[in-house]
Amino acid sequence: MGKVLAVYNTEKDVRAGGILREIFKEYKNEQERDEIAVIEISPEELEEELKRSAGDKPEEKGSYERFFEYKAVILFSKITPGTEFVSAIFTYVTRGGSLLLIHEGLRMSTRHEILLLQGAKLEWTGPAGELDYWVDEKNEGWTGGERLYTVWDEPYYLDMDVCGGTQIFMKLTYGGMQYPAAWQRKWCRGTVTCLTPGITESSRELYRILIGYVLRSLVGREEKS
Amino acid sequence: MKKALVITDFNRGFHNYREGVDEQLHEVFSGLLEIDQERQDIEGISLQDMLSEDCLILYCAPVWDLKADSSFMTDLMDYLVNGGRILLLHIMSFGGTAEGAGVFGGSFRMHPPYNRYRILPAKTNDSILQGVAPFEIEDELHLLHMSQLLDKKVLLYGTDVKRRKHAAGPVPYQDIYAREGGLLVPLSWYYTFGKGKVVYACPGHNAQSFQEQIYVRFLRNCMEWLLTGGQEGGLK
Repeated sequence: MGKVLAVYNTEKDVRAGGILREIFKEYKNEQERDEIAVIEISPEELEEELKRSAGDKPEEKGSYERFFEYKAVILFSKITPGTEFVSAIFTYVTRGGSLLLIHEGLRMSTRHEILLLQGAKLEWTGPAGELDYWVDEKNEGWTGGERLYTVWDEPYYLDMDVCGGTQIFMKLTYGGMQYPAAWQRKWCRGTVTCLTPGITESSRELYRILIGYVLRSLVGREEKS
Repeated sequence: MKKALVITDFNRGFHNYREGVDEQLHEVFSGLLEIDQERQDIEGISLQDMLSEDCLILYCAPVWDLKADSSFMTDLMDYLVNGGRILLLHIMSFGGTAEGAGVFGGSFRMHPPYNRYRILPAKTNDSILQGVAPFEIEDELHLLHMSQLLDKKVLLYGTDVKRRKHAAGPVPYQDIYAREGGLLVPLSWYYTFGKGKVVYACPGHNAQSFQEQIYVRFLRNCMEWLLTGGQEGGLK
């Protein structure tokens, strides 16, 4: 399967990073039985690296090719992305890359380029509590028939893009209402997957399932291409 | 002199670039940039073609049937976010895909008949509207399903010239365009996108639209904004 790049606040979100790294380590790719290497970098380091890369090759217009050695790029921290990073990640997805936005990674709402990729804008978050995440009936196959996960988490409510193209595969039940909790969408030649639950000990099992879903979809896409 | 590539259509029975729009656009931007290429072979236009210009002008470009993963669409997105400059005139022809509608501001919904309309500049001190007073124009103004995630700044609004009051009836746009003291319809906006810049301007149904002097002033302001720095990096 190869490598994925995790871009996050490596000081603040150490625990979430550790859990995600362990889940990836445990996950064996069904096709190749290879482990997946997770490369980690802070957004500030990445922005600097991209700027240097663009500066070294002024005749080239972008530095997004840096991303193409990765099967997927994962963001799960609330960060303030720089223009170099935004341009690079947008181009990476447009050209066929896979972007995975998790929990606080969905809160980069200052940049409309990223909002368009994720197809939604965070409107509010509720107080943490026991939350029920539901897998849609048509998607229960990849969870082994399990459809309900109860985890201690902070609920996210997002305003979904009316322009469409989004496949919601998990919902949150909150206050008697159902809200989109996980979805995937095509963006030009790439794929964007958004997962609203936070990465915690409580959600570890759920994340094992979700990461499996994401990786299967990437493998499926590779086979098609 | 800066250079622009116009992407358009020479054969269609309506919005035909060769029916005088070409001459008008050369005149509108004279002294600012030279339109050195005019092409309608959409799928033959490569990223390198785009990068060889300072600006792309899309006048009613026939891109509505293109898939989002087509070469032209992916090249255009790449061009824009990495520093490209795009002026989109009249038809919002990218609305056929979620990606195009999202990045350029929306998808076509409907338009009232060709008519005389009053155009009002937004109440802002932005220099792009310097010298742009309210004006009237004969045109076909388009109503869009707007992309709500795009952080765009509206520049022009349209309204019925006499602000007549029409009864809401079987023709819905009459109500939208002409309700007395009611809604103003956004007709032009601008925004930065990654390292790139975009201006969309709806007026431009035919060559006559580009003879209205205040609109010409507005378009030249827009082109000046597109061609000057303002963003980190950029193509050149």
